[in-house]
Amino acid sequence: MKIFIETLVKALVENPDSVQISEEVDRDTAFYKITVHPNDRGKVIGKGGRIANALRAVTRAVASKNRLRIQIDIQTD
Amino acid sequence: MARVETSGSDLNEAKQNAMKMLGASDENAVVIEVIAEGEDGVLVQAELKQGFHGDADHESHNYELDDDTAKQIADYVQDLLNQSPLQVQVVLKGWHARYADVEIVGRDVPYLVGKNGEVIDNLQYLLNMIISRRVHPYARLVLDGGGWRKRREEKLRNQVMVIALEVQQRGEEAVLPVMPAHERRLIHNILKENPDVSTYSEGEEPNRRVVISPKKREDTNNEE
Repeated sequence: MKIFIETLVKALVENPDSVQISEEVDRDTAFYKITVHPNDRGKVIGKGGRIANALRAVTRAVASKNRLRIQIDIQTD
Repeated sequence: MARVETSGSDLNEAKQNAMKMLGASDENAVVIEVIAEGEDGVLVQAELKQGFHGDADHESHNYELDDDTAKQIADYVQDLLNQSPLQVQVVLKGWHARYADVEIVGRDVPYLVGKNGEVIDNLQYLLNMIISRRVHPYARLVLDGGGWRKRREEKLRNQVMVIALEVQQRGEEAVLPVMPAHERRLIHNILKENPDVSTYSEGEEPNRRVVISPKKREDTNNEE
C-alpha cells in the first residue's frame, strides 16, 4: 500500500526525491505521514484540498480490498 | 457553443481563463456570468456570444493525441495500478481529440469505481493532473471502470430528457441532484440544442447542481 501511495505522490510533485512517507499500522488502520518539498505542498493538497481529498478517496478504496483503514496526514510544516 | 466553468483570483483573471478555455481572443466575444464570489476567488460560467467563434488555432482544442502518447497514458495507468494490491488490467479503447479512452477491467474493478463512481472520478482527476505534467500539458484521459461511466451517461441522458419534457410542460424549473463537473457539463451539452429549456448551475462545489428552466417562447421570437 505504501508503494502505491508513494508512486502517486511522487508523480504529482516536481521534486519526487524529496517525498518521504512513513507508515504505521495499528490493528486494522494504517497511518501515513507524507512529507514533500515545501514548494510541492500545493501540488499534493490542491485548491481547497481537492487533490488531497482525491488521494484519500482513491487510497481508501484501494486499501479496502485488504480490509485496511487508512489515515493520510500531509505534513505542512 | 460550449459553456465553460472556471475560476480566478479576481473577475479579470476568471475572464482571462474562460477566454482561454473557449479559445476567444476578443473579450467582447464572451458572455460571463459570475456564479460565486469568495475571499479566494471568483467562479464564473462563460460562453461565446452568438456569431463569435473560438480561435481555431487555440492550442488545447487543437492538440490531438497520437498513437504513442495514448499508449503511454494507458501504460502509465497500468504501471500505477500494478503498485496496488488490486487485480485489474488497463485497456486503451481508443482516443479522440486530446482524450485517451482508458478502461479498467478485471476482478477488483468495483473497488476502483466506488459508490456512485466517486472513486473512479477521483482517480481520473489525479491521473489527469499527472498526465498534464508528465505526458503533455493538454493530454487528458477519460477513465472508465467495467463500463460504469458509459452506463451512467446513458442513464443520465434518459433521465434528463424526461425531466426537460416535464419542465417544458409545467413551465417550472427543475433542480437536479448534486453532480461532479463533468456530469453537469454533459447535461448542459445534452440540452443546449433543446429549444424549450435552458440550463445553468447553482451552488458551490462540491454541492453544485444543474437547474433546468423553461424557455419563454416570446423571448425567442423577439430575437428574430
